[in-house]
Amino acid sequence: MNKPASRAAPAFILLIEDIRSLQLIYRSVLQGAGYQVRLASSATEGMAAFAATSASVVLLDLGLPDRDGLLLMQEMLTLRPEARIIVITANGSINKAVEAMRAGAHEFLVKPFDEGHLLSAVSNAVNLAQAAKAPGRVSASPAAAAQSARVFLGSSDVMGRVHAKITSVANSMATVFITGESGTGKELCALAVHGSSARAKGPFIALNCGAIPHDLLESEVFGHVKGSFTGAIADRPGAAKAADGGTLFLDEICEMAPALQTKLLRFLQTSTVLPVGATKPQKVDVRIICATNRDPLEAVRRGHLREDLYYRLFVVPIHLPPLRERGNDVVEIASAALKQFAEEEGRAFDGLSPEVAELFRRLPWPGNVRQVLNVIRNVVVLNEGGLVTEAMLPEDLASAGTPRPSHVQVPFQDSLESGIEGLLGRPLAEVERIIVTATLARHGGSVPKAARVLELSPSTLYRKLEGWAKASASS
Amino acid sequence: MSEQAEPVQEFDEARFLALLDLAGPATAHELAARLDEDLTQVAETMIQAELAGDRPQLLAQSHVLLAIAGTIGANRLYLLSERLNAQVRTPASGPQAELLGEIHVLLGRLITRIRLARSQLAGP
Repeated sequence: MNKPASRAAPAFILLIEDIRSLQLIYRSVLQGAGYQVRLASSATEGMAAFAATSASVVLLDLGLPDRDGLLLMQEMLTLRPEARIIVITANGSINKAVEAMRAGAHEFLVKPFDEGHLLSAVSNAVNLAQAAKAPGRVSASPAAAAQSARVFLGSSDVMGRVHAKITSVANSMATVFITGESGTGKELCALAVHGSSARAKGPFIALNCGAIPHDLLESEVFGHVKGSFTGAIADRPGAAKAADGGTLFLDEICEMAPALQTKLLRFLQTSTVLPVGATKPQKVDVRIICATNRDPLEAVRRGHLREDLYYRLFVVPIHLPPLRERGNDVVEIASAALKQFAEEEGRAFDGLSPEVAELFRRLPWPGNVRQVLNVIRNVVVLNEGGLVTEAMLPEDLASAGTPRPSHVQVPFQDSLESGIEGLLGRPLAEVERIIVTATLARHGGSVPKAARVLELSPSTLYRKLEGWAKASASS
Repeated sequence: MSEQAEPVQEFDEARFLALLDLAGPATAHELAARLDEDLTQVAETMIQAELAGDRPQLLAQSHVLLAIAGTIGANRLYLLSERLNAQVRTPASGPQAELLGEIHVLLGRLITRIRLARSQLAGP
């Protein structure tokens, strides 16, 4: 059994659960592992016990009879922000758990769960709560966290919101899902979350799921033992093990092979890794941050990303906006890069001319921050110094600034409008049939999949199809 | 999850006994008593909810049932209560009578098993 580490006094857990039999089972498991447990059966009792005791770890069932568990959790965190609250929810209410994680819960458990999972979540919360109380705590102060979160330059409102989200999520165990176009700084964002968290002194391991051949990815993530496959000449720990005590960043998560997604899901559920060829799983303590430049929900719809994995990962989403939507940020980034690159190359530049600054604000920057940095590097390397003028810029860049393209939205808008145009003037029943048929076609004729997208029960969809088939036959 | 009914062990006796062991001699009887009370309450409330067409109550009871059944090793009942939960959530369809019937049969058997344990643990 997963016993807590030896310590002067056993850790104290407040358990708020209204189903008496489950309350007793959870208490038995926790006491068996050496924890002290205080029970409460309602929100009122739970809040009173929380206020009257020093419990810094709370197991909170969200479905309480007298009050919304989420509100109770927020009240507790207002009273003691350092408390680690593990929310418990029923299978089928995962959205509520996700909402709780966004509101500051430390971890969530979905009923029914086994003893190992319960003890793992509690042990992790207790360790972090104790580390936060210790004099040499590793968690960052709010000021340090804010500083770390400002690894992104840019003072636009939209980036201000990103910074605030990074700071607020850093000290939770919640999985962070970063989305954004290529070049928007997703890995920097992941680093900022790690750097602002209590795990900052632990490792930060980044893995690009799209850059590693599928047949090697499992070994890269979970490791392998000697002789498990041709070329495995020695035991090798994978990225998950290497990130123990820190953060594992999985970039381009939607590119991960389906079989490996199943293993990743298991890893997330059990916090154990099973290296290729090994027989005994190993326990690890890792926070997961993942990222993609695709729409993850669309990847789910297309069957590229498992839905259950999506819900496990998409707990706290952070969307990094493209540079074209960040106003003057591009000028701030370019100016800072100019200063840094000039120092590195031993050149002296006087900044950007007003024309260049204006051009930069107009450009669409499809490569985002990465493209800006490349342009500035190019300017610094090919010029001696002075004020950066349009003449110093790469030719194709200056010409791209003339019209303000909206390359992303226009084709979509066009297709949308032509699609709506094609439907206008038709009876509603016919429009319904067109939409249903197109959705079925998109999902390879799978009625259950199409039904899920249309938010219908499969039986309803079958009935509709049957009705249309009969109508066609009779006409 | 597959639409086909998968063969599952109806009740994992070893799992149930392990939980009673974990509770220890002093608490095992109390655990059996609480399980009996909680499951009987679910059975009665579900019948009332079915008669009244009370979907929120059915949903709430399916949550309780799947949590308890899944925890104590009532595997078949757990799968069916998950299915009930999904059906009640789907606005276009209601819970199927056949499914509810099977749940009540299994729930009755489970309560009987727990009452047996309760009486055995009560001592002389």
